[in-house]
Amino acid sequence: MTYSFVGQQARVLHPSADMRVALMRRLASLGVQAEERWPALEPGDADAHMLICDIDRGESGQFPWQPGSAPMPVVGLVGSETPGRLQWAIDQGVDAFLPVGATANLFSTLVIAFARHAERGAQRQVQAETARRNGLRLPLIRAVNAIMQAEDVDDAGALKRLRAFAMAERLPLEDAAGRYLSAVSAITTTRGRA
Amino acid sequence: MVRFDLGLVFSITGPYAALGQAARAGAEMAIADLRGEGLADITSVPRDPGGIPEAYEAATDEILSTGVRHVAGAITSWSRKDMIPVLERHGGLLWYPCPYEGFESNDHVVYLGAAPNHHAIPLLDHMLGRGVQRAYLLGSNYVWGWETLRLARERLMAAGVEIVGERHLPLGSVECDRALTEIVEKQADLVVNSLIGPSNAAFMRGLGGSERPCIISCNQTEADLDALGPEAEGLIAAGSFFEALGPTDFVTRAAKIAPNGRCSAFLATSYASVRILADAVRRAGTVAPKPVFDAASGRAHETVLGSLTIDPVTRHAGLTPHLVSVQNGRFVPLVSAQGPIAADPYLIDLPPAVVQPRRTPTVRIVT
Repeated sequence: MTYSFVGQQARVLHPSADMRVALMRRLASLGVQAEERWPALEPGDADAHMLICDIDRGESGQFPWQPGSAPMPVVGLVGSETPGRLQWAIDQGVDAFLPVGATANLFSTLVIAFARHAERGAQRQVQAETARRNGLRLPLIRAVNAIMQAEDVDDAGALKRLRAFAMAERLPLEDAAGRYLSAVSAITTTRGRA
Repeated sequence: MVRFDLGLVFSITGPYAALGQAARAGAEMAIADLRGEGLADITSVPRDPGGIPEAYEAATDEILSTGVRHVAGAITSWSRKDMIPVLERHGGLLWYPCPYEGFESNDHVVYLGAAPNHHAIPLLDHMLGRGVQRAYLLGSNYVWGWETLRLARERLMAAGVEIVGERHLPLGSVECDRALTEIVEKQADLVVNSLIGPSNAAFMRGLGGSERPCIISCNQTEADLDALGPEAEGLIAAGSFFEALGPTDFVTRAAKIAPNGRCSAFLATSYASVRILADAVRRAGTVAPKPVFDAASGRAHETVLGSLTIDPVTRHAGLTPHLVSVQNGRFVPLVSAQGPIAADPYLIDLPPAVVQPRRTPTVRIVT
């Protein structure tokens, strides 16, 4: 695909005015409108589409988000190659790196940063989903027990039936367990009333 | 009169020698003209990498190590990308006079050839307007072939054209039989041809003259048109210069000094590049690349390619795109843009492809 950043908003967080201007010109040539910042981001900057920040003098706490949780792709500008500075940038979850002497390669750095950011977003979703499902272990056990009693099958047989139900309903196993329990509870309640 | 040295790194031997010879002839013609007009005394420092990729780096290093600051050269993107680290190391500036696939904007290069919005996009859109339905993509196996065909695939598919096949031949390969067979079997009505050098000649000659799909190319110029033989008839090409569109006196003089007797975009762009460089050195009062580039960019130059301006940020020339077709061995203009168009090397301003109405089969109503 042909990548396009046209119409997007960038923030450039760097102590050097020359570097900020050079980057803003590069960004403009890619159709990106940029605003310069130093030493702090401003309220609302989290809504920008991308952030290009200095690694040499970057500090923890400079960003209004937890390390690794930037809401937009982050490009780190590499000046010093000291391991400490690079480690700081890695810990911040910088998506792509651009040496200060190679700003002509901004396009490829943005393409990589956007891809990495999308990947991180997808990973976060997977992690959140895994955590949510892990939290539903008890309903799962209860559903298996309920099926064992209702259908007079062993635990493996009950789990197999629950799986078939989940597939038919196109639900994760844990959500299928929840739905089964709700249905059983509704039937029991109705019968109780009758 | 300004005096300076200029490296010329063009392959005048090897698989794409015809292009290198044309480009070098253009540079040498400009040097001679500038001297004759009393404008510049340029000493050329020529090297012939022979079309061998590794040789470009060494040739450029050899030239820049002697203190020369400017080089005109490279033909392929492969060679340009090999030269860039050397230019960066020495602080040199490359004047690159060839059409290329875009997606580059290096501080040590001035891009004077056509960018994709000058060649591929107008050419593909023109073919979409002709109602092509089934395209076959064929290119040489390096970045020019990869990227022009990727762009063609994306553009054509977005407009509803079916891509019926794609093949990349190694540089210099003349084994075109499989591609030729596939084009017939898959009933392609369009071939996007990004082959260069002997591969291109072998393919075009293998095509034959009749009952064939339309062939389009973004790299076909007069520099090697004759090598295609009569099979070139009907080929549609895109570029920023063709003989029929250049100033008559320049084309006539260029044809006399060109190794193949033809004036091509490679020759004319190389000629224009050296003249722009000499003018910028005069304005800057130095050969230092940065002030020279600053003097060259952001202002209009009247050249044999027409009026052009070099963008100070993208470092690319704004050029006038032309489409031509081959008739009786010569390029005949089909359509041209009204004037120069800023280069869009990263295709940030690409208008969406116009979706084609599907050709409906003719239905005979029986009453």
